[in-house]
Amino acid sequence: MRRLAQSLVATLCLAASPAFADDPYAEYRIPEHRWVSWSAGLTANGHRTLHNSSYGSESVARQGNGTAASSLYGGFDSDRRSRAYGLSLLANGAIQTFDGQNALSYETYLTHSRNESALERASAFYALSRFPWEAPLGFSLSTNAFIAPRQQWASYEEVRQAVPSPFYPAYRQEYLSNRTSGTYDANASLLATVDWGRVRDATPVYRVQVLEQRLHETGTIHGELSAAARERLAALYTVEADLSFAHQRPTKYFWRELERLLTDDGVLGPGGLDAYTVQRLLEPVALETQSFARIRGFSVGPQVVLGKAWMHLSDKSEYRRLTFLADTLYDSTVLVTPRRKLDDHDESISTGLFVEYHRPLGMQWQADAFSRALVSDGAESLTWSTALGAAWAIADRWQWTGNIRHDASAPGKSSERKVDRWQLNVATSLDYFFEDAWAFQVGYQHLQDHSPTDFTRTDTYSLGVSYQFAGWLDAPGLFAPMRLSSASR
Amino acid sequence: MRWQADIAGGFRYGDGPNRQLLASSDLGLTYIVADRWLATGAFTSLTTSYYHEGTRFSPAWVVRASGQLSYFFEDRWSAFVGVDQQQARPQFFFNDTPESPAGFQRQTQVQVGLTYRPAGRFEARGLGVAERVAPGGI
Repeated sequence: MRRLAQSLVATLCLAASPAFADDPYAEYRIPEHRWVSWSAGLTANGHRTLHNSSYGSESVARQGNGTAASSLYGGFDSDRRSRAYGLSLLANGAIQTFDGQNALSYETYLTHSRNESALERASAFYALSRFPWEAPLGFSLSTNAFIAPRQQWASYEEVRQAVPSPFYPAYRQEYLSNRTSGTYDANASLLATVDWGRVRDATPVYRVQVLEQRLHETGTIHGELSAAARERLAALYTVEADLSFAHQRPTKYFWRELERLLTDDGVLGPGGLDAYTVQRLLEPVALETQSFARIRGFSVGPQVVLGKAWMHLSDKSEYRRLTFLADTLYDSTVLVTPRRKLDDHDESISTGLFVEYHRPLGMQWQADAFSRALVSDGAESLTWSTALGAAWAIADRWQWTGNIRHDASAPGKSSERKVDRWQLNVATSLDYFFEDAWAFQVGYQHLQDHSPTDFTRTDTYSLGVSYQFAGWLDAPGLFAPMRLSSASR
Repeated sequence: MRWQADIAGGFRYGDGPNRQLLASSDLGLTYIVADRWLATGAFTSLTTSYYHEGTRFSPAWVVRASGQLSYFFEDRWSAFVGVDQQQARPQFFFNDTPESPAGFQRQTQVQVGLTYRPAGRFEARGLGVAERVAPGGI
């Protein structure tokens, strides 16, 4: 038994260690980077509508709305440790009023209504991870919190004045109503895991491989990139999206840095990166897929998920109707709904195990597997999810993907537990884009949903083909006539 | 380089026995105060008249004027102010007969937007990248 445990630990260490030294995906490490961004915004709008009718009615509707918001994001990321935080605040106020009058031959109406509302929203998150030792043992924690209170005040007032006639006396009716309400929704969640093994998103390595291929294809670089340049370019692709924390239009800064790295490596010609090359580099790798995720690593460990949600409602309303005959109160109706309060909360705790494995197999293949089983508080139910996926980048702009996912839930305790619901989702697709000629997409999806009372099976097929027979542009004096690229490309 | 003016007008007649008359006019003006700083103004009008059983009805019309000023100072400020005014005399149909009540409808809308970014920083020391929000203000 002891020997079995030792071999199991050794196997897990081997799977989690950065083996296969010639595998660039295995050598990828997350570069150190940090960021902070704080922004604030204010918007306001006002609306006024005046309506005048020859039938004797006139009304004015006014509406005002204002929103103030601010958000703060920051964090640090590296291969050994990371942390990220965010705080977002929003306050919104709105007011609507309506004044109208309608003069008919037998009655006049005077209407006034007013609605006011206020909405506040605050959300925050904090996440951290640590891999403090050489051994692939890590800890991660993430938490989210959200609260959104809302208040509303509404009032309505209408006066009807009857014109005296031989059939009924002059009377006046007054309708008054108002309602106030306050609500809030709040929730908080926490996810904690202990990882044995390490999973990294090595997509930047793949992007550097595609970059190098395309730079060679356009003749922009001479010779191969050095290993150090590839590593720095992968690091730059890793932080590409994070440049937006420092700049609102970050693309130009990214391309400045990328050109600098290529120049430092000595492979870039004196012409630098021309516009044609940059546009070629920006083209997606497949018809639909903007990027091809290249995740690598193995991880297994326990997981705890905590969640809590609160809801509060408080409101009261009042309605009055008064009828006057010759300025004397003739009839009155009063309906008062006293303040009522409703509070509710829900909490959940789940614990379980997860295991995942991701492996890029060369530049063209990617395999992914994931499984997780969670037991709810008091072991009252079990949920289990498993997913398998594979992708094949057949060539530039030609990709196949296949995915299988199974979810099951089993309520009950220990021996009484039995699967009562499960879902199966199988999907596959093939995308092919031959520039200036063919675009082809075929897909299939199979869904099964089993519950104690129902069973549903859905099959979906999709097929799309387009072909461009001719394409031609002639601009004399500007450039030579252009035609569709030849099939040899 | 800074000013752009656009004028368009149209007149149509048709729709069989309705003998519909439709006249429209559009006027647009754009002023580029500076790069990423734009002022625009627009005026449009549309008039429609129908003929029904020997009578040409008084026309329905809608007139709209709007103006906008937008300002974007990269990494720091963005501001937007807009005003939109519309006045209309609508036309209704009862049993396929057009009716134009003597009333009118007028709408006014004002919009204001402002964003400011006091801080923004990104550092990747291994890459020699240290970026901060561009300095400056209005």
